[in-house]
Amino acid sequence: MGYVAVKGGTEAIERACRLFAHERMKGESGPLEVKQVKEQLYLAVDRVMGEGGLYAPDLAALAFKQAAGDTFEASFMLRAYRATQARLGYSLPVSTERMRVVRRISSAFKDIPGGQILGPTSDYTLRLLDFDLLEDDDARRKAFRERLFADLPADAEIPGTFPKVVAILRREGLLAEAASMPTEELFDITRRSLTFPAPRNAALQTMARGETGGMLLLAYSSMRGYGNIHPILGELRVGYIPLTVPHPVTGEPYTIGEVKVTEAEVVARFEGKNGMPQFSLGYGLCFGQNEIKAISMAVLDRCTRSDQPSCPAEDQEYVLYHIDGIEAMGFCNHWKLPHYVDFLSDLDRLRKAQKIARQEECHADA
Amino acid sequence: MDNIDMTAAVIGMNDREINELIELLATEEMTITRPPRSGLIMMTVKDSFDTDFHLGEVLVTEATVSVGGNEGFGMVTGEEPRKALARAAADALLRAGRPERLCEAVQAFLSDAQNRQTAQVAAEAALTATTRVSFDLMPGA
Repeated sequence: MGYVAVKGGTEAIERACRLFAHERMKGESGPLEVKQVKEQLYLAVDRVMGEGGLYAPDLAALAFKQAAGDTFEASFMLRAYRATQARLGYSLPVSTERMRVVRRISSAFKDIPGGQILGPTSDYTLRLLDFDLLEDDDARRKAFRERLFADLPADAEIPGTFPKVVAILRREGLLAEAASMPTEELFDITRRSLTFPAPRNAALQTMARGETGGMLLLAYSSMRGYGNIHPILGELRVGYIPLTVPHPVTGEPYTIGEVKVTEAEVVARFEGKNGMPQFSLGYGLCFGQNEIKAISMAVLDRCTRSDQPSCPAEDQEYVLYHIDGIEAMGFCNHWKLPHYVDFLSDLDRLRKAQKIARQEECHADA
Repeated sequence: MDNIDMTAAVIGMNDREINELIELLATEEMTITRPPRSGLIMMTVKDSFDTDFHLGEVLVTEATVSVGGNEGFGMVTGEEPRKALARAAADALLRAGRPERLCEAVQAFLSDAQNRQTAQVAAEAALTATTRVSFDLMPGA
């Protein structure tokens, strides 16, 4: 590889940055408030937080605005920002059984304890444009909210927590027990580089901040047939889990806020490792409401535990090295940097090859 | 409800409520022993195999305040220096347990805020409850 150092161009680069900002603001619309991005484009904000690996809705919304809607760039900004902040500690491990659920469905069972709760979703609807949104204003929003709450049945309640659907399968001995997973040292990929085979907890951490599209691509390849995992969604949950640390004075659990997450548990083909055949489970959990990512993560968790990997989605190293959006976009973007020496070298070799070919043609003709 | 749980009401307060709480607490002499600073908490979760793993980091703000020799700690999610300070001051005051009348006033303020937040969550939960579904099986299924 022949990289070449270049210098200069500072003024042009600064002007290009200003021109990029100008593109964002040259239209007739008013300034886009960060709060508007956070509240009204919340799925984009959730995606940026998940892929940046930092839960900070205000900053994710700011990054999304600054990046003019490019989720790769916005996640990159968030990941860069986290590098400026001190690590104050680790939370106490929290189970999603404590989740304050806003959405919970199962495609494995029609009737589940606690019931299926659709929550805020556009699933089961036609993806038709809503032209009423062109006339969006405060009065319409107020009227919409009033209608929404006016229709509320007096007895509309929801349990504080819900039992896990996979527990039903476990009770009947149909699903691998929790204890079936080997105990491994807790790895932190932000502190140590991955080595392979990576502990499963490191793989889960890597996938939790993976890029949605990249993970979907690999999971989809397995679902379609370039692999053996055809998942059934045991349970998909969206909701809030508490973030708790030990109180520095009393040592008691101390809640510092709630974090919105999506969790997916996929039930996959059964195996009979210890004699009795049982379903196997794949697990996905990520920041914010990002169902595609959580389901893809669960599929890939199961795929990468295959005894004999037979396709890219089952190869742990392949999956974990290619799902980080920031690394991938960084590599892709680096091709825009000067590669003058590489190319000159390629040109030189091509010209020599052409010269040799012409000489050989001449010899053949003679 | 213990003091630590009561100060959790600060997390969900809006700017106006935080200002009111700080005004209330400012009637007592307090020392900011560590000014608010932002930082990261790595969130650790348990999966369905009881495997712990790190989900990602959360931006938080922390501060410590001393009242009558009692150290109070305040940490909240987000870049929220005033919130962290208010929570630390409330923690210190309630830990000290005096002056009694101010403690009662702060407890009442926190309790009211907690009730408002609980009602708000309940209203949202009621909306969610209306999306409960029981699909019908099609004939022959």
